[in-house]
Amino acid sequence: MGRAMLIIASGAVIIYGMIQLGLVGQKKLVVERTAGYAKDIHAKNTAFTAIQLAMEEINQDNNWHPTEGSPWVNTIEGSEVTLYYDYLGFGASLIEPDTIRMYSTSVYDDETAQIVSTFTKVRLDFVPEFKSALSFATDQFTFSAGGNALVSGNDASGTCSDKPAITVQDEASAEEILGPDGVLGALFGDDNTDHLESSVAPVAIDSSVSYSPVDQLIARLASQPGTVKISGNYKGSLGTANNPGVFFVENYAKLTGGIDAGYGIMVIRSGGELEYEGELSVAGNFEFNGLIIFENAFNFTGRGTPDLNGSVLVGTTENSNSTLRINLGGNIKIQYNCAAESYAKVASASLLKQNRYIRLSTFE
Amino acid sequence: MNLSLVTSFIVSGVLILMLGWMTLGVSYNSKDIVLSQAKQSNKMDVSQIISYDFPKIGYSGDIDIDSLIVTAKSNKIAFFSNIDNSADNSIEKIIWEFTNREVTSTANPNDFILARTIDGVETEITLGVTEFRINYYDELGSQVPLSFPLSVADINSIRQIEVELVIESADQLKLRSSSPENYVRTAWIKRFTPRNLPTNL
Repeated sequence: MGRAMLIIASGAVIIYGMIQLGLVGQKKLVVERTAGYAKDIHAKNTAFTAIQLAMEEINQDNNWHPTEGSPWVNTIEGSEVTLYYDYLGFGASLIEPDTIRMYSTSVYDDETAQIVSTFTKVRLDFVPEFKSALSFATDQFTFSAGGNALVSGNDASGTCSDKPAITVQDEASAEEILGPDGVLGALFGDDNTDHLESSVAPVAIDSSVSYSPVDQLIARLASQPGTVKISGNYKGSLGTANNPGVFFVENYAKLTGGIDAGYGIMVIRSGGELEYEGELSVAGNFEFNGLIIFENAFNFTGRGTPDLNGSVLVGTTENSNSTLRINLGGNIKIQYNCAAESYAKVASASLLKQNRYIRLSTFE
Repeated sequence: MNLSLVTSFIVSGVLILMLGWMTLGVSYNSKDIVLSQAKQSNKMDVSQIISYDFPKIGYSGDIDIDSLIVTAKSNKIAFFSNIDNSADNSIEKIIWEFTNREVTSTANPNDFILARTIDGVETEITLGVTEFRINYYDELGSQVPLSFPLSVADINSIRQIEVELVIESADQLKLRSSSPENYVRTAWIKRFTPRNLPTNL
């Protein structure tokens, strides 16, 4: 009898255990239903991540363009993601914004999430604003002008307001530009105002003019594969209005007559850790449209009639204590032209290949 | 009397009592789980609709809308959106309101109708919603919601919207007839950051 009871008790315990297992299984089902919600969130998050990654892909290669028929397929955090985008509108030029719409679909386990986001895509150029025909982002310089040299802040394109002929950082720099006036100027003929032309002001003081972001732009442009390094007797292209370029002069370079007008950005730099000795000599008629930057030296010799249209920026890098001697002579003409700013921007943007995206709307 | 026989009867008696209690417990647990599953399912259904609508607040495709959120109360929100992402960019007016109309199809006196209206077409949600509260925040991650009533400036400053939802079972869950009133409850709280609000662009 006792043995029989033990058998019954054992059976009861086993049944009890089986019931408990059944209950655990049912509770697990409840938890799994809740987990579906987490899966949905995960799918959404990975769909958003795919859009971020797509932006990086476009930055790397502007021609990267997955389509609905041939989407970009990737696995992100365990989710299968497909993405493509359409152009809704194109900017009139390289620096005008395009409008794109991205479609990102992510499948995680059995949950699917689709995100549709519309952005404007603008190519970044980092070109400093043209503040005048000639801007000094340093106070380490001396200045004189003679001959028929002219610095004009009146906008040549006629589409923008005029600017000062020259912008400097402080009062002392402004005095250096203007030279002695009154009797001293008359006696010694050092008054430079005859060579400055502007409906706004011959010289303006703007303490915000700085070379620190510009030197970073130059460093980035210098390392880009599309940048053209000019040296020796150069007779090649200096860009076109439709395809402006970035040109670096880090050694002696001579541009002889017959060369076509240039467009974009030209950097003439000296000093620095790599001990550049940039010097540009031009002969005959020379015209460049865009931004011309002189870094740590103003080594420019212009025989003939050099026309620099756009804006010229002179600056010194942080570790440079050299004094730049600027002597404008001959027939050099530095002419502010706001239309030329776009050449500089396009040239920079086409090399940097970096876009800024502004989200307009998101459907999720 | 045989001692082992008496012991066997005592042990078997205890086992039978245990089995009886266990049966009651299992029955209660099973009902609990079934009701929980049903409520979880209801909660998922409601939360999916909310999660579909709220992130789309202000979504207009390529059209500018002046007022994205037109009403912002604790029990009601009305906003504009191209809710179905229609190609013609048509904008719909969506209203979510926790009404004071009782759900008559359940024995639970605490549940009321949650109404979702799109361009005047109302859908009644009668899945046992007993609480539905909307909080509005003007800063990401803020712990202090905007106080009611919201001014127009407050509405224009909304960056996040939090929805609190409580659903109860239609029937009571009792271990004994004398047990107090007990409905299976399930709650859901989610804070949305509608990406198309100007404050979030």
